[in-house]
Amino acid sequence: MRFSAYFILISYLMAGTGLVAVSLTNIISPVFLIATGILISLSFFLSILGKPINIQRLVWNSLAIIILAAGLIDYLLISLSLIDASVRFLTILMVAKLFDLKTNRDYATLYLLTFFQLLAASASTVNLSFLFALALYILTGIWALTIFNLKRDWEEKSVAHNEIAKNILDPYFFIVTAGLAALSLIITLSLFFVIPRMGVGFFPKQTADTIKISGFSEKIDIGDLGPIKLDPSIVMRVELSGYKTPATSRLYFRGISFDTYNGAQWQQTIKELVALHKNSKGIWNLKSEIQNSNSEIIIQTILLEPIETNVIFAASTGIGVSGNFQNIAADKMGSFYLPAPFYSRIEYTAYSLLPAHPKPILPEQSYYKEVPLQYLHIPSGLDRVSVLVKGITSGKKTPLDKAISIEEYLKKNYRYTLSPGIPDRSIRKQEGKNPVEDFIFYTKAGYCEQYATTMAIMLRTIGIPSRIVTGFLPGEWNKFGNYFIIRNRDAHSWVEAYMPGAGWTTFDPTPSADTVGAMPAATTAIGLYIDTLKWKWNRYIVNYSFQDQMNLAKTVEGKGRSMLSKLRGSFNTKTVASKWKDMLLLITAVVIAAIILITIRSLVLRAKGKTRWPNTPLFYKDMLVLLAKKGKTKKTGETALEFADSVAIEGVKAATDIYYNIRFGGHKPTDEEKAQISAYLISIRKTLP
Amino acid sequence: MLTAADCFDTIPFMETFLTDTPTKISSLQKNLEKIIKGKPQIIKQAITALIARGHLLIEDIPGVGKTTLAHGLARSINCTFQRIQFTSDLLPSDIIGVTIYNQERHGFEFKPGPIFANIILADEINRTTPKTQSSLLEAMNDRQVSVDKITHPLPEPFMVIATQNSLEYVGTYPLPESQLDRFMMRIRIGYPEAAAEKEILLSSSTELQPQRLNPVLSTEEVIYLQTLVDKIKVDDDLVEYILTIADATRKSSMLRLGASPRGAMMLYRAAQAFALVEGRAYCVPDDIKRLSISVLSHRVVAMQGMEEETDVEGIIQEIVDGIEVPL
Repeated sequence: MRFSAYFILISYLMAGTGLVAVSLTNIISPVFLIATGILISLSFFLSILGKPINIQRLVWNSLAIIILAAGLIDYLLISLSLIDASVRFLTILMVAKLFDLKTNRDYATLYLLTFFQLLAASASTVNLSFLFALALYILTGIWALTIFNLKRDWEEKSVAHNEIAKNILDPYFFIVTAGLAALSLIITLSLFFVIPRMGVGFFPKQTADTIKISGFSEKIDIGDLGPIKLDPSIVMRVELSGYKTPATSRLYFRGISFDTYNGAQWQQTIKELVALHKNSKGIWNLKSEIQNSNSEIIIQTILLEPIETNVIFAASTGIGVSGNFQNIAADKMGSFYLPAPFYSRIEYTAYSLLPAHPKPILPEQSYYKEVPLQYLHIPSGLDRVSVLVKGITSGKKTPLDKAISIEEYLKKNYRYTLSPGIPDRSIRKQEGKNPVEDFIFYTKAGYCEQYATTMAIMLRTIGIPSRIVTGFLPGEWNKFGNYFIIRNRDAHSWVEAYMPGAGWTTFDPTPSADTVGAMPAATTAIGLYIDTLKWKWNRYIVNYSFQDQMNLAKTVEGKGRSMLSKLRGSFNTKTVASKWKDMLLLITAVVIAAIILITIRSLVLRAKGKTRWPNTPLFYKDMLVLLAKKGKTKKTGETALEFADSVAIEGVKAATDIYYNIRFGGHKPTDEEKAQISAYLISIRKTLP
Repeated sequence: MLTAADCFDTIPFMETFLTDTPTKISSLQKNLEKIIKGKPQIIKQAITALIARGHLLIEDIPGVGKTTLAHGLARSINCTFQRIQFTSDLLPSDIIGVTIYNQERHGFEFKPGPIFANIILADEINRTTPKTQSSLLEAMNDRQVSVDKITHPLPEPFMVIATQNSLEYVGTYPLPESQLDRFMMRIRIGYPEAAAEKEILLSSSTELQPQRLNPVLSTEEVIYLQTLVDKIKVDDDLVEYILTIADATRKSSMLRLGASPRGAMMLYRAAQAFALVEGRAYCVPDDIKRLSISVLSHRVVAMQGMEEETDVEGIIQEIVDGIEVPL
């Protein structure tokens, strides 16, 4: 491949990387992206074929003004976001520049534009892929700059460069540049972990991600039945500290509970929220729950995607939450709430009691007064259900035994389906008076909400207080990262019944719920592995907190690395001066830049060193190659002039004079001479057989 | 009249140089071509030696114009010229001068010899005794003479053009290698081409006399040209080329003695001067290659059995042809 082709290819690679980085932000629409991609490819083919469009300077300048105006309008009237507008502006500008690549300065501008694109992208994406885009950018950047340097160096001495670029673009070149890219990344990342931070990013996103969640909702309406689609998108990732294998007993990630059933819908009548107090360890405690806790505490680190709710989840019985929040509220049913729905991924730690195992004991008199009456309320018209329940629970004495027998009954006799309430009602001869009756006596198939509702109602008919809870099942265990991947399809409803002596106890009458955990791995090993990367990315990069840095410092200190810990010591207060941070960033940036520049320089020098007579104008070498092809080979002991005399072809002598002048006289060829040389080369090509 | 100091530092060298110098050198060349027919390359080399502050040894059979060339070069410059015919009874004082007692002034007085001139033609230098030879050669090297502990500087420019007849052996004292090393170049004039010889034959008796030449350069101009030589650009690769050539003569199996460091130095300087003669401000490989025989062949000694001088030139040519020319 010709050198110029390499140069164009690598410059476009860099432009492409800029576009990839920008595309990760979701700021530019797919249509825009595709159009940009097509334009870039078009200009690439035009350049590589050597047929660039010649845009007049005037046209180009007015185009630039239009683009700038469009960018301003975008910022001031449409997106109102500086980042969004500048990402679009930079992208359009880059595409325009690609059609106007003539001089070296144009290329330098292009590189600068891609750099700003990357910068803009870094400010507005938390996507893991950005890391790859960054790595790719560093790599292509080094390539482009090296080749650019070579090109400029050669152009200073030569007039045309048709020499094959094999001298530089060898495996060594690619290994060194890839190594350099990796090194820069490592330095950047290690810096990331060391430098203290207060916030998450420089430019927190302001616009809301409107992710549609079909899994979890704050309303349960079993009167309105319809098929449910399993949504595999991930809702949260949960790491259990200390656990390297899935927890032995099944965890239920509790969202909110409902106390009142009106015959079709569940509602919360106990809506009162209590602001929690933060204790000295930074945990918002749910006091009532902590008092009677003898159980083991399970600590979960949860990375929760925005799902348009202010509910935050905790396993089993949540007793506290810590995280970077202003405040946390809780309701009387043990659910946690943020002050407002959140629109970006959040990370928090939840503290929960593992489920208690109640003993089958008979209730005392006070039992029925311990809980509000709502938990025993049943709508009218459930006489038939009541009769059935009495039958199921006959012979059972304690509330626990009764509840277990109802749970077993539902699991055994009813079928799990995602499309309940079979649409074609003509097939069905009868239907119940209400959804619960319909489920129990007629359809006998349904999904978790119907099972849970039915069990809760059944419990109430025999005087056991109950409520319904919505939340998530643990989902999939990622063995690479040791955490649970919880998806929308893991959304679930279950029942909590008030057991004498034990309090609210979880029951799950849904049959498939047992099998969910045992389901064959929904994700391939590679998928799990990639998700682990995403988890780590989010956990350690995007949500990497000051606390984590403290932990890191402690670990380092613990390992006796006194040097580093001393260094950390100067940072480990909240009064960390931002100038320190800036200084460190600056120094590292300078170091990385220096390393990159030195490498580029040495690559250039190496490429030159590998060429015999690197200072010789390429046109002369080209001429020798041309003449050699025609059977006129210059002997090594022959001077250029002697050779020219012996060849005796018009143009060779004149070209040799110019060559001498450039090569030994340090002369810079004028445009006229360049044209002359081209003419000579053409005439030599023609005259020879 | 431009002086070196006027030119440099203020005006880029190339521009100053290109406006003025080539015309001066070519007028000198043209002047010499009036009396030396068909030998432009020899004339160029003679001019090269002049502006490189070198001395020239012309070695050839009689009657090819050795003396004419030397005389002509001297005549072309508006300078003092002395011709010393070397004979076996010539004494050093005959060249350098003597100190005599001046009765009027009641003291000794130095009477400068013929060496106190800008251009000296030392005719048939190998006919005199080594003692006299060496007195001349010392003066050539130091550009000054010392008589009775008093140092007398020689005029600038100072150039010795020596001739010797290579075929004569009887009654000659061949110059030893150490003495030959003082000459920047040894050139041979050789027989003229047939056409040139015809021209020589047909020309009138006075036409080829050096006496009829008019000076075209002043001594100041010669000194200026000599300073210009130092400014001639020599690429690093060309320096390497020179060193490679010198080294190759030392390693050659055909030579008993290779070129001295002075030889390499002289080649460097001669190449610079030759570039200037060619009208360039920079050296090219051709300058070095073309001069290598003239500059090196009298400094090397061939192995036994190859004593003939022409053989040495052939050996140098062969060596240089085998060395890669910087591209």
